[in-house]
Amino acid sequence: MSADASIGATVPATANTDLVQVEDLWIAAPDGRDLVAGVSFGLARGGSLGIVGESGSGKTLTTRALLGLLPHGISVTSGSVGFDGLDLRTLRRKEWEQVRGSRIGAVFQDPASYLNPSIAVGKQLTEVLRVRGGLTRSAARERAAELLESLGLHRVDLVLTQYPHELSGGMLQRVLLAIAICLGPELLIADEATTALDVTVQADVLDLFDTVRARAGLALVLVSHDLAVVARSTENLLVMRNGEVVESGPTTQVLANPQHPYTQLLVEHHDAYSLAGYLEKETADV
Amino acid sequence: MIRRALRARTAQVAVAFLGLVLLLVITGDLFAPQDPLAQDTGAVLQGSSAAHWLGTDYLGRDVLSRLIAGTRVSVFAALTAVVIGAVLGIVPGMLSAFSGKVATWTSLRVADAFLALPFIIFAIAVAGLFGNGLFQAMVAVGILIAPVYFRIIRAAALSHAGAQYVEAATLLGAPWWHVLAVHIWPKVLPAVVVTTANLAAGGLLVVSSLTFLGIGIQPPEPTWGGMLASDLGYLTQRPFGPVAPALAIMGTVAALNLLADAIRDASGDAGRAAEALRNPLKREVADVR
Amino acid sequence: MTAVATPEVQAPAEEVLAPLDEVADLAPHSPARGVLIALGKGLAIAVPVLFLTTLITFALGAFSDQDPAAAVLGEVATPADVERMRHEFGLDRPFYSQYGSWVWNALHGDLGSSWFTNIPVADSIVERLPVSLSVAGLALAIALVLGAGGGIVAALNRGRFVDRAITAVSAAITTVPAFVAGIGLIIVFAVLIPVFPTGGYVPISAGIGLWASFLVLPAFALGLDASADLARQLRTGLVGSLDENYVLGAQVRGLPWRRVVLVHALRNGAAPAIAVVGLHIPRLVGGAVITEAVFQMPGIGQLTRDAALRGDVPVIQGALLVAVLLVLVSSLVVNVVLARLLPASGRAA
Repeated sequence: MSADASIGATVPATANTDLVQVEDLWIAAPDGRDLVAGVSFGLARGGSLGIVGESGSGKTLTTRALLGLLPHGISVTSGSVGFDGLDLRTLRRKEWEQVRGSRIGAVFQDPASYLNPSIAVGKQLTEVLRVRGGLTRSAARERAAELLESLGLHRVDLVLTQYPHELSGGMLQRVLLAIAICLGPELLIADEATTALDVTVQADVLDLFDTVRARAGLALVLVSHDLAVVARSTENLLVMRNGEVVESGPTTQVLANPQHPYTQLLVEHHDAYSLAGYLEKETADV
Repeated sequence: MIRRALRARTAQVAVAFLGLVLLLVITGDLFAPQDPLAQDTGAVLQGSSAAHWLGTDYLGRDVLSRLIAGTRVSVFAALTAVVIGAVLGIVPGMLSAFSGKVATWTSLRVADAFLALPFIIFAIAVAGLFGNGLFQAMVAVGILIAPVYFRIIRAAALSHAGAQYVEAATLLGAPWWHVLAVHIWPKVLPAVVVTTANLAAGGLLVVSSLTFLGIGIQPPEPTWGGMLASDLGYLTQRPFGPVAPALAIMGTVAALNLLADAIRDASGDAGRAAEALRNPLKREVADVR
Repeated sequence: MTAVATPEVQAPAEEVLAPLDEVADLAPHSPARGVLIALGKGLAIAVPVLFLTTLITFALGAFSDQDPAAAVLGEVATPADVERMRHEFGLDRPFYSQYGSWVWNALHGDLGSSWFTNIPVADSIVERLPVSLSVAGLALAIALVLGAGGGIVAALNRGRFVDRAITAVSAAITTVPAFVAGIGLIIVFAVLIPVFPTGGYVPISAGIGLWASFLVLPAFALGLDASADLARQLRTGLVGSLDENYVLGAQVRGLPWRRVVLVHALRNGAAPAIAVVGLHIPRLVGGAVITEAVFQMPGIGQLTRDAALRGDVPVIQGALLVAVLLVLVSSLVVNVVLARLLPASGRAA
């Protein structure tokens, strides 16, 4: 909002070693309206960043810019999006296809809609392993079963032959997570990935993120409107509103001692009993 | 609904064109500059001139006059089919929205059986079996298009059959014909209008095809399709001969379809039921209910 | 199409950690099973439809005012002659008996003989079927290639000039009846620029090139309408599915764009278009009559027309039966293809 609010927008990190460097990113609608206005942040290899904000705050568009998949007509107007030394804004379609999936993976809200309703989920997983990973048909099938099992799915052989409408939300999100990490990316983007799930399933999936990150040294960008989710899984935090970063810093610090009125409002409004106890424990640990 | 539809420029053009066609249907060959049957062996297969604006055919007959005189037969025959289709299809379509499972299944299968018959071959067969009559053929086409009305009107009625005011009316003891006439009919009217315009266009195409084949007409009588057929034999002498009757057919068909589109756009949801025929998946969804 | 999946997914049950037996309730889903179900459903509909249409077809002939005796013998026939002839054709038997034997014979490939030439109807049809099938088949191929190409190109260039051009051209084409298109093609490609013959037919045995040269114009005339309709439906369907999340999902996986469009988007986006192809098949079969007349080809259409003009009832009945059979078989094929393509749609229906 105000100019000085965005000054604190860079998450402290040494720019050169960061995996992701977003600087002064502006994204505009076809009618010229700014949807994201001057967002900057960095994310270290293996690090984690939470982005919170209400819907329409520009948090999803920011992550979409990292994937080069902005909705029809919406475009990045200025700023830079760097990924491991690559300037993502200059990539052509073919070059993007080399980055997505194999270097940056993503999972979203409403997992069912991100899988093709007419293709068995196993085929959609093995498709990536074969087309992008270069595995043979049988090797891909084996690897797919392994992956799903490691993500806590039972009866994997059955699941692989099923269609999206035959699986529950939690199962689908695991399948999507398997697809997202199957090529061993360095960055995982999770955009409201647990929002539509039951609370218990949500916890399971968040645990999986931790497991996967620990196993593969994956960096995580976690977008959510839910402070508890972000607090639980990320080290650093951006608070966005109206396309701008209003506050940023280490997650525990921002949530324990919010500086910006909007962040204060968010924290206040959040159920004190679900968050406060957790935070106390966390800060005590630190 | 109609007034809103007429705001579109294309709809205005379409209505103007259809008005002209209708005028020709009413006046017959009154406005024809010459006798459509008069032969002039001294001036066969001519191009356009002051005497013959659209030229002459292989017997030296004035093309414009024949075109005007042929309007009535073509339009009447098309309307015959549409009226028969409407009479047979609309009320059963509305009723079937309230019918039981068995009746619904049976009626849908009967409708499918009719829709599986290729219109033209069927019409030719009927014309052939019943004395080479255009009227008989178009009655047959009317019977074949009744299921189209049936399907579309049924789909339109279905979306209102469960409405609370309909249930309320039934509970209050209103007879079925009252419910249909007062509650359902106004709701399906846009679909009826759109379907009628579309089917009139289709009917005209069938008439033109039949008369083109020489089915159902006696030779000297002018029809748009018949003119096309006779021009076909003289393409080397008069290559653009078929253009005038072809434009008459296509213009009328296009005008009817444009009008149907405009009405559908203007009437919102209700008219969209007529879209069901174009999108069979939607049709299936509508039938599941 | 996503509407198909969402209601199921919103179901509150989360079987992730459900006991094994509960998961086992979900039967493994094989595409082959879906196809078999579609085939069964299709046959269940096609058989009654075939029964009804044969009944209609036969009743038309039986109750028409055509009579072989009057038609063949002319006005000089004595009442005894007429009676003998009616008996010969079995016309003095009750309707159901006539219908029964007609169906029974038809099942054995016997459709009776022409009243006028005495040539078996089945023979005439077999002789002429290749002509009609060549035209209709090539027309279908043209419709599929042009329609699919046009629809995909238009959808991928949504809103750009190419899209608007394809949309406008296909809208214009749908107002052109097949015989007008045929005449137009003759004027342009046979009279003004004489590259193709104006009409006629040679069998494929005379050489594929020659055979094809006689088929090109009629097939285009017949297939243009279907191709325009197909292009429009495919564009609409594909534009819709390109906006779906699963297309975004496929892109996120880094799948090549061509694969995303041709495998992921097309699979669902093509469904309405394929159904439209099914709707066009009766029109292709029926339209063949007109096209054959325009191009003077000795096919089933011409056979029907000549028979109709003479009142040759057995020929008319046989031709109608074959036309209906063609339509039903094609519809069945379309439904099976749809079931194979969209396993999820079986759930919604």
